[in-house]
Amino acid sequence: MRETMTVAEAVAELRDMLAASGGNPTIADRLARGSLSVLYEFENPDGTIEPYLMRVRRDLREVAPGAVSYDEADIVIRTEPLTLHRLSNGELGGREAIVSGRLDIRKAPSMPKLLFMRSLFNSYKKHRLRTEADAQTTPGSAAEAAP
Amino acid sequence: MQSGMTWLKDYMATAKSGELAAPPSAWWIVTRACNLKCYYCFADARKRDPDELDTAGAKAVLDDFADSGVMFVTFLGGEPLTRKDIYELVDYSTDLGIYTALLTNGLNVRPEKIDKLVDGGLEMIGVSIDSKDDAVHDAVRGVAGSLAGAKGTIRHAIQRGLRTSVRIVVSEDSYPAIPDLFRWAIDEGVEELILLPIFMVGRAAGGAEDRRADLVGKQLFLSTLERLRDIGEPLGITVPQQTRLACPQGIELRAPDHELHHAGHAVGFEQSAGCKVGRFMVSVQPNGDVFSCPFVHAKVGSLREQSIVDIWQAPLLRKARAEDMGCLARSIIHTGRADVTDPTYVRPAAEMLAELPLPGTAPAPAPVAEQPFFPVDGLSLASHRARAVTSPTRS
Repeated sequence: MRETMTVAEAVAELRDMLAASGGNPTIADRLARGSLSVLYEFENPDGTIEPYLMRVRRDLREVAPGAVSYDEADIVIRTEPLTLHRLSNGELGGREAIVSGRLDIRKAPSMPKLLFMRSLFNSYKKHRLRTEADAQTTPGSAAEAAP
Repeated sequence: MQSGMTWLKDYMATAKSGELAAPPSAWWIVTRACNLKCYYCFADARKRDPDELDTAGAKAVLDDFADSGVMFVTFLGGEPLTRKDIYELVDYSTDLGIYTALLTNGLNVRPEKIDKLVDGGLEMIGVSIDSKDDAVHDAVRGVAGSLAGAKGTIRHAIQRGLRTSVRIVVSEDSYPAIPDLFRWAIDEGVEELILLPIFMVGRAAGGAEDRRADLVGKQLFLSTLERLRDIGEPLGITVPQQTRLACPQGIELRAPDHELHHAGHAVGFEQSAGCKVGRFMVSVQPNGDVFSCPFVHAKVGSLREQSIVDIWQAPLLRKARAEDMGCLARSIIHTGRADVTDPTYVRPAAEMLAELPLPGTAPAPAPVAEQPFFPVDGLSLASHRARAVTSPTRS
């Protein structure tokens, strides 16, 4: 379990999540029909905020630095990079993150948009778990070769 | 409440006011096939319905739910794990972002089955238990070994990190030992206990005393909540109280100082208190028909032909949103209609019981301290068996 994470690493995971979603037919279908815009406000240890905008639609999947007004985003989330990492790999549930104050939803989404965002996270979590499981069972893998 | 929870509180408040475009939650009887024979089964589950939705049909319903904003889906039955495609449906549902739960009786649930559900992203599993005593549980369930299966399922699910709930139907059989079961669930690390009254619907219906059984069963349920409140209080566990409705009640078993205590539960319990019909949930039947609640057997639409958004505007659901009608399942039990106020909600139980003729000539036995009720046809396995003897057409 990681203890620290930078904003750059968290953003890399978000990009990895979007890339992985393309291999999931259920999510791919949703991507073709919907759109999502999430403003992440990452909190640094010194209290500064680094905004990133995740945009998802049929022809666009990107996470780019910069902010938009709250009106322009479907969801606005303020959090630490490590919390996002723990959410995406299943160490932390969304409810726990919210209740503990580590994930602050500053603009609430419509429920279909929230489900859209959950679909990306759920799919990524399963993708990672299955990739790890495959790595452990593949003959000749590092896990098998270890004494 | 933390600032980050405000949106959830707002969402629940909007749901309570009946202003959502779709229900937050769907309770989906994915099959009526079952490997147990519980006498009080509200779904009258035995074998698969011939018109059960197939995999493609079920996925189409899940698509509609996700597009409409249905946030929670609970697969139940019958026994949902008798459906070969249940793992595929769980996987599909969680891929859509829907919080997905499953209720099982735990019989023949090998650890590998739970592992497959975890792999599919299942977030909560509920297991039904009637007693800590194998003899009682297995007799009520009609199959030897069923309690062992239920306990094993809960333990493996907890090991795998699944949220768990134990579901107890309050009957004359289960009533005496519910406090023991409550403590057992806490000790095992179960997250939530769901207490349910017996509703005289499905297989439970059809006795000579359905109305009396409902009234007494309701008292039994309310009395149980009070008993659990007394047990929970010194442990820091809050047992929500009900006085008039007697609707299935969730109780979070983790105290507020527990690291996994979820304040979201408290918001949910507080905001969804009262009848959930038309505000928080619908029940889906195996063929895609929609009922307003698992216990209110009145069709309000069909997901084969309509979106959940359209069904959510059905006249019965709009009426339930506009009026405080009590429990519509009890409306049907006492009046035969779902669209009228539940008489047990507006009249004292004692008054209604006094009006009901006693069957036969024998006076009702006096209540005793341990069991503050008198035996009523429909609230125990013994009475149900006696019913089957006197009425050979029932099974």
